[in-house]
Amino acid sequence: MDQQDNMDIKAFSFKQVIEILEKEGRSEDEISQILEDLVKTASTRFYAEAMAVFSDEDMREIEEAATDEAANVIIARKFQEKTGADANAAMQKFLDTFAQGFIDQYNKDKSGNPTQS
Amino acid sequence: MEKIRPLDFSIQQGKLNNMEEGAKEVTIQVQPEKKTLLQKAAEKAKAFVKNLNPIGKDKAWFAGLVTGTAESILVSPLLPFPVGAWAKAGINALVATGVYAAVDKFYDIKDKMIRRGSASEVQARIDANSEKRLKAAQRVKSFFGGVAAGTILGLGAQIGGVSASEIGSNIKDAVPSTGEIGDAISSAAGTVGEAATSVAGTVGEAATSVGGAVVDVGGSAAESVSDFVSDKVVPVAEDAPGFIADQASTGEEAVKSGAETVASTASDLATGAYDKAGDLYDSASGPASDAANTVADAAVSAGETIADTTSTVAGTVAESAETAGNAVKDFVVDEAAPTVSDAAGTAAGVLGDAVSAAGEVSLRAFDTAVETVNTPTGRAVAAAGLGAGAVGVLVTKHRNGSAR
Repeated sequence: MDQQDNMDIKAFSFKQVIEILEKEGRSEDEISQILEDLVKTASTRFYAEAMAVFSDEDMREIEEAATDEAANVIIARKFQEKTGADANAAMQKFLDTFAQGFIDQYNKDKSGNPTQS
Repeated sequence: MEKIRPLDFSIQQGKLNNMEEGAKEVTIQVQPEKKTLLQKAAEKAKAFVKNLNPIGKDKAWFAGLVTGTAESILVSPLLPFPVGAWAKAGINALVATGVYAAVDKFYDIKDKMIRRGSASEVQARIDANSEKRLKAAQRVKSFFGGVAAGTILGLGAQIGGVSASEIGSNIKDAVPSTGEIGDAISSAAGTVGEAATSVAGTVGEAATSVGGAVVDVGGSAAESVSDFVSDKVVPVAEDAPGFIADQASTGEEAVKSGAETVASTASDLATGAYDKAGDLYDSASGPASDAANTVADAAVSAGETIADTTSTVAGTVAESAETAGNAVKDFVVDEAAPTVSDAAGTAAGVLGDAVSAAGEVSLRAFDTAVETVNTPTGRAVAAAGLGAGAVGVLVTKHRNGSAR
């Protein structure tokens, strides 16, 4: 199974989330709000982790980078050095896991064991 | 279709509020009356990232989002999620469950964080980093905001079939603009990877080159050492016994020569003394007492001369022995110490024996000289001297009496 296959499966999982939301009659605005909130949650979580593991020297290097693009490269590299995780891959994993948890809970609710909302 | 104003979602540029500098304009073709699902999400996400600036008025909002400790963000099953839309949609539990699962997946990270310190310590570190390096903190926020938006909304582009009638081809244009961050990061990572590979290759080649040079130098050094040993050490070691033998021989010869000189000198002196005594005996018609005294003095002088000569020769022998010893010592210490110690010991023994022998020869020569003086001839000379003296006295008295 190559990377594209994985991506397709993940995309399928997230697609299911949106399908469920649409099936449940959620409006576009509501769905876009959910997506926005996901972005907020994910970015906040990883921001907090990065800020907790970055040293003073790391922050100095990031601050002194000539451009934002150069800073991005430094941040990505240091995040991987400190956590052992690639930022993009970790974010993808976070999203995938969210989608799977969402779908599992939905299926559980539909099978007669509803979750309190 | 109409052209709308550019979507200023250039997170990687760090220009979150305005697009005056370095803004990347993206023209999005949309149907104004039908904004797509992802386009709406993208615009909201853009607003979110814009509000990430901790320096501005939204800092309190962001702090509220973080709410308290880092641990609450990392491990709480119910993250401080902005639940407005979720609650309204009645799907709070679904989303919360999904988020919980996502966070639960990262428990290993939580463990790492906790090992680094308590939750409050972690939060203190976050606060310190944020306050001390505002620009860096903003860049980190922008980075992860961009990664999150690029991942979530970029992934959305692949599910275009969900709302095909609404998303359409517009998303194709809109999403890449938001996905630029991810692309830029991927590109940068690729560039870094290629550079790292290149550097690693260069370093590897350099290391190989250095390794080869080291091997060459090592081989050259080994050859030099081998040559040195063959050309210098071995010959010296081989020559050492001969040299020592020569030195010992020289010392022995010097001792022998000295001893022979002593013996010869002693013999000559003894002969001279004997001859002198004989001459005196033959010419005893002179004042006998003077002759006797002269003979006695000559005998004493001869003995003293023999003694002095013996001492001188012994000194010469000693100096020769010392010179030979020093030569041996220098040679042994400087050039052939480990291998010639036995030979040196042997040489020293030979020298010692030679010196001892020379001493014995000298002693015998001295004894011979003394014995020569004490021979019957010597004693006869002395008696003759005494007799002559007595005769002389009588003659003198007789002459004195006649004269009277």
